[in-house]
Amino acid sequence: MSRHFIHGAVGGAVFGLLAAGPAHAMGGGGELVIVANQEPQSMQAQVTYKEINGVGLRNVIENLTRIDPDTNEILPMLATSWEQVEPTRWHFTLREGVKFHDGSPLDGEAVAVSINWLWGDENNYSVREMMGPQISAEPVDASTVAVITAAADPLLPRRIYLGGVTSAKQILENPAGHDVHPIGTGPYVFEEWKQGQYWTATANPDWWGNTAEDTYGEIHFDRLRVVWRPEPIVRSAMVESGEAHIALFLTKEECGRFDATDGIKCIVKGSDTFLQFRLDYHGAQPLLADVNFRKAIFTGIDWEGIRQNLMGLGEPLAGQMLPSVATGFDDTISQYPYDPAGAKAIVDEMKASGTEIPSVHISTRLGSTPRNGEMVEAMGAMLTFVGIPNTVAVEEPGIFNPRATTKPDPARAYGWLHVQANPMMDYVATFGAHYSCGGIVSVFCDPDFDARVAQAASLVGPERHEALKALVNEGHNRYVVAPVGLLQRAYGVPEGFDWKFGIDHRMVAVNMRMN
Amino acid sequence: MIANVLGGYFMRRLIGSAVMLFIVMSAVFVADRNIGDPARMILGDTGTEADVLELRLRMGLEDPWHVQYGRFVAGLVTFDLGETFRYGISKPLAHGGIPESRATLPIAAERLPATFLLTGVAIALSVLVALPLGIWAAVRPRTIGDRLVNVLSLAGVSIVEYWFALILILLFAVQLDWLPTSGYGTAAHVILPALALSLRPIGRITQIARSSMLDELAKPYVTAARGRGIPISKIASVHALKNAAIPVVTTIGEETINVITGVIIIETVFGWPGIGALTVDALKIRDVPLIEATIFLLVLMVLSINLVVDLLYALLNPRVRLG
Repeated sequence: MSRHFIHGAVGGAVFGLLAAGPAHAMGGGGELVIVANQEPQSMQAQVTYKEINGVGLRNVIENLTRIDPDTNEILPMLATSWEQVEPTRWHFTLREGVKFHDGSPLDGEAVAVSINWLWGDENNYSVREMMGPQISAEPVDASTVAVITAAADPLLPRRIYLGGVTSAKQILENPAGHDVHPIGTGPYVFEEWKQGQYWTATANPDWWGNTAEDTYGEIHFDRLRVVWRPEPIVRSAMVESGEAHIALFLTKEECGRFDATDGIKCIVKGSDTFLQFRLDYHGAQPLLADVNFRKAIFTGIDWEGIRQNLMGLGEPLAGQMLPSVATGFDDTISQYPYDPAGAKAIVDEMKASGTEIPSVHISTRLGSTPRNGEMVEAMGAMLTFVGIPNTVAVEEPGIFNPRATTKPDPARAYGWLHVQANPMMDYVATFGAHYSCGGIVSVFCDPDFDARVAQAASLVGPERHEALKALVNEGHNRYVVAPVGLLQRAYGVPEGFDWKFGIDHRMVAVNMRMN
Repeated sequence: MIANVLGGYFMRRLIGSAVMLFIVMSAVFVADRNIGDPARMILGDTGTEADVLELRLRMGLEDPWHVQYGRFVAGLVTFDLGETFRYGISKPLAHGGIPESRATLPIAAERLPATFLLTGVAIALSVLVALPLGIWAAVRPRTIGDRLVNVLSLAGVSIVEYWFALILILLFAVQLDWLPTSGYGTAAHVILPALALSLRPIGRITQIARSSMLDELAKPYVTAARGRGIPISKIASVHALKNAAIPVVTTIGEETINVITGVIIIETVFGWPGIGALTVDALKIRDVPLIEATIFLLVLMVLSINLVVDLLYALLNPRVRLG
């Protein structure tokens, strides 16, 4: 009997191996396989605002507007046009003939339900962190939806691009299904989420983009599969072995290896996420409001050296947090220069005049960006060199987050190194978070500055740009926040793989092609 | 008589296991509440203190510790360890409560078959390789073959699983293109993670099998049997093996437990949808109820194996059950 059992077991194993077929069955036009770094926590339409939380979900869920990957310009998607009919009321004209994957029509009523579901305070979804004034919606007619904001919001068409449009039918009939089974209008129809393994979607033959002149892509793959592996080596191995088309977030070293290997390559691009150093402006130490002392700190640290040597994949930032595509970008300023002698002279002069130099505590959050622990160590060493006592720490989220949201730290002079995203690419959002009296993570408070930001926020076009640019310049000269670099993200792909994407790094299959 | 003695022994061990389970889970309860605020994790950097407090209230994390602990103990007894935070707690609560499917124990239990498959293959592979290897080395002591087995088994015990797993992927999936890098679904997918998991057990079981057999083969009855012309291979496999089995069985049990704890890393590396990978996912987002459910099942598996090993040990060695 045992002999039969052994024969059976061996036979089964051999059969299983044969049945497995080639380990990497795929090809151009077949199934697009993306290997992400983590499993999504949900498939809610709101997750589309941050690609990293729902890799590939924008293939299923579309939005009213979209952003041109080259120019960062707002373009039509499910809405063909929009108009600010009143300061707090926008009308979006919807694309005709579009249906959700469950067959329900995309009309004013459905879109209003979807917008209220996503942006409303009842669900309190995290997409609300991108919201300016409270957003709500109501149908105007079958092809028009009105979006109402609690206060005037010139950025609404850009903001609304962050929230996906999901099936109202599902929300009303099966709201729990919305968490795990996305139903949108996109080029791919969600098929299955096998938790712990993958999620899949199939090409949508009825996608409006197949026939529309202003479509944003073309379906080249019949199916889409998103899998996840936390280990970067495993992700890159999947592309090398032909199991996947795109491996997310290669390291700088892996990227170099990919470029040096036949048959695979690395694609690198700056993102909408930046690494910054924020230093309490007020609080326990009045000296922190002294521009001269802040200058000593900001010029006593070699930001460019940290970016080049420790950050890995980081684009330089010109003395401000956003890149040149942002509204309000000031092309007249540059990164704070590294001037240890000058910084030391400032500190020595302060000491000579009897000023007591406070110890600055610098922390960073565990795992927020690679090698951030080494970065704060380096910052601490540089400050010590210019005579500023300090402590540094890599802190657990449970310690770091409450500290970072305390404005400012009442117990000590405090600064933190952390990443922050601004998908809006407009300085109003950055000022709101980091330079305002009311910003949750802001430690800078100047009511006059806030008033000028509010004034700039009401402007549009070149006027807005110029007003924000002046504020960026002022913030730079007052040493509010030190930008370190714009995070780049690197992807491993096979040779011949084309992918067009913007700084929001959307994984949209209709913008990909395997040649 | 033996059945009665074994029954009493089994009951004592069962009660001991239940007490152990309770102690371990209580430690998990304490640890879970000191690994960062799950409400803050869900709401991110921009959540206000008021938002965090409201979410903590909804999660029951603001209740006094003895209330939370009472709820936790009741959950252990009724096999209801609460609902996952996974899908965002605000929406389901706002819409009439959390559906039954979000209860954590069923979610964790769904991952058990994959883990059973992986650990089963790894242990089977370990025993099938290590036992013959250990016996083979024992019957030819101090030869080149024996020394080679010694070195290899020591290497198996010493090499770090995580590193070995990555080497296996790069060698067999990338360079040789024989097997898939990772994933789940076919027999081919189980080979590399099972190999990675079985490295240490192979080393340990080989070492113990070899040393036990060496002890046994040095005994007078073996010398007498050899004097009567019985081949050493027959003596080893028919007579000595049974007597040397007790430490080997104990080691297999211990290594099975090591394999179960090892799945936490190996499943994560290979994208294997078992309970180990789920534990890591739950830890990442501080999903306290899900962490407790996964650890509960893992501890249950470990204690069950311990119990089985103890019973086997008692069956093989009467002095244990009578003592």
